[in-house]
Amino acid sequence: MDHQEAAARLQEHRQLERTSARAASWSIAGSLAGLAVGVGIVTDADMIWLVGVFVVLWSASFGRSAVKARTADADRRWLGFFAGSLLAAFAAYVLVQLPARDADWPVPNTIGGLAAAAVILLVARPCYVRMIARS
Amino acid sequence: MGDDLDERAMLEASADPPQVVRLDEFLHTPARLAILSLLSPAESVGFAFLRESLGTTDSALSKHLTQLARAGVVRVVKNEKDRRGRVVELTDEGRVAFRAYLVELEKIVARARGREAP
Repeated sequence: MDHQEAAARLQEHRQLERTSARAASWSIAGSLAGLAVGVGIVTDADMIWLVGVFVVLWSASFGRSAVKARTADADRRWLGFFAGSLLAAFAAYVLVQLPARDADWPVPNTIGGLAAAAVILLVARPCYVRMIARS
Repeated sequence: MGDDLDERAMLEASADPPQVVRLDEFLHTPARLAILSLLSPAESVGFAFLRESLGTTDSALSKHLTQLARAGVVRVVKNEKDRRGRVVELTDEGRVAFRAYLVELEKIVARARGREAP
């Protein structure tokens, strides 16, 4: 096999590995984003007890994913970025509520939840893809 | 009917002890490489996801999976969440062999780059 064929095979491998990693990432990021918005909504609605229901739904939706990610071999650097992005999502949840409360908006927790969901989908998800797709 | 036979062959092949094969040549087939690339970042991948990602048919995918399972590279198991579905996993031996194969590919590319470098 010549180097051009080898390079083409490696390129194909990387593309397919990313395809699989992206499918796994949508599952976890989608369910986490849904959880963040759900927690915001039930907090605003003064129905904190519903958080338990959301967690059950979250674990059920996560378990039905077509691709179950392998985190045992996760890239440590991207694992750090992923953990950092989840902290950033939590920070967004809290910090976005401050101006919302100052402005007397009716659903500050929901707005915070939406901000957290945006951080999860736009920042945490790509980090997760890089974390599990190592090449 | 055909699908049932394919499924039985895959599950039986997964239960058989792995045979000794020349993995370099064995993994070199584009379809097998594609399957293993999709499996590599995952603990398990659904059969339907593999089929759709590869744009292939049930029977063609089953045939490749049966060969990979007989070689001890992958394992096909019933989906715990959905008893009708099947999921495919790389075995530990398969993961090691596939990584070794990728390292060989990288060496070929690196050697060529070394030659091309001024």
